[in-house]
Amino acid sequence: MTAPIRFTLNGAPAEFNGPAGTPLIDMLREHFGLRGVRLACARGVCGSCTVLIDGAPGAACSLFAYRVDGRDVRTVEGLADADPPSPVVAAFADHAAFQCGYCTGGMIMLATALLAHDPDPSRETVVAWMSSNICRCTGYGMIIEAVLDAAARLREARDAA
Amino acid sequence: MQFVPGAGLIAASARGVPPASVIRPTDRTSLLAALAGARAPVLVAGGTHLAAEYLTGLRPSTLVGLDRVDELARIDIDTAEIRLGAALTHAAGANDPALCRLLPGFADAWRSIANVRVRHWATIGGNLMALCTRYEMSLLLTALDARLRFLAPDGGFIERAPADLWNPAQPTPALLHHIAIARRPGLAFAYRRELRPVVTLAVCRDAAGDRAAIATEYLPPVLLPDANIAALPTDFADPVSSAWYLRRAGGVLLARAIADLDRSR
Repeated sequence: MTAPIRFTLNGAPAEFNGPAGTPLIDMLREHFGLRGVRLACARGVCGSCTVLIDGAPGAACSLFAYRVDGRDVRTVEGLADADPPSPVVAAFADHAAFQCGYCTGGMIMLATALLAHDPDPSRETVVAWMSSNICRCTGYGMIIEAVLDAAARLREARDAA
Repeated sequence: MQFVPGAGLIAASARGVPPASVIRPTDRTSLLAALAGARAPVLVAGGTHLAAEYLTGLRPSTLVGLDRVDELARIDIDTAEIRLGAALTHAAGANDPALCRLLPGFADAWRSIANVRVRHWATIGGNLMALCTRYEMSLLLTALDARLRFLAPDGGFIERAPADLWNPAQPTPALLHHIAIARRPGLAFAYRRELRPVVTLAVCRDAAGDRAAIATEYLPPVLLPDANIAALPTDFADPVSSAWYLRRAGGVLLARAIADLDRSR
């Protein structure tokens, strides 16, 4: 496949002319400079490379670039650089829901997917989703509180609208 | 510990992997042509397993993507069968309303596979064809007495049982097209994975009775035809669990699964 890969990246049109079999994480990091997509396990287990593709969470380390052709891709930069920042980003900052921060981008993307799927998740649901991402600093308590707080902020924003 | 260059013990970026050419057929005809024309093609459905294979040295030169072949991602249901397309993702298949209505225990089991990121991309066919003992679909389908239908070069189908995948004497055709589950009176399903990865067990109930299958992280599924743990081979043991332990633990899971089925009547 030699045709360019055209897709939407954090809301803007994007094009990639490299090999279609390039790992998605390498395309995002090396070609587009999105260093918030982080490589750790390289086998889809840890979640630090989580991005949203048409709203569904995916491990960028375990997908090929061609899979995003014609799709909408969101990375943590798309949330963090928004003005105002995403309520999920704000809640993570307010709860200091990170220690070393390496997993934080993936955590924020997974939480964003969860809250789009279930705007009012129970604590058990939050734990079930977020436990699929690994925080090697073991800061899960603050992460769970941040996600629950983000859900409340999003509900308030919806009610006010 | 001996360091073996390129062994993939450290999760380096896949930048070290030579780029592969990608063929993306859109229908059965172009898929068969791609398989016939490519040299040593590697089929990619979700692709999630392939990343792990890269770490262990796989270096494919040609990838054949299955994601645009719509017929591979369908669920077809008639009075005789439930047919699950091989390229159905776990998320799409397990949440299909018709499957949830007809076989809720199996849908629940399918929904429990993998993590949330993988579920949206990994497929039922990939789970089977990866031939990893820790992957769970082979166990579930063994208990269900499902049939795997592979696409033959002439466009017809070659049928296999899930257990055939593990039989080196039985060559596996290249392209899994769909998985067929026969509809029959009283069909119900229960799966217990709380002891995973040590041992997992599934039970299928129909008018003919109960049948179970048991597996571990390291051992492929073994069928227990009458859901009788006594039928477990005496050498069913792996590097972490003895045969004695697996028989005891399997018996506990079996009792729990049967209780689940009794409650769901």
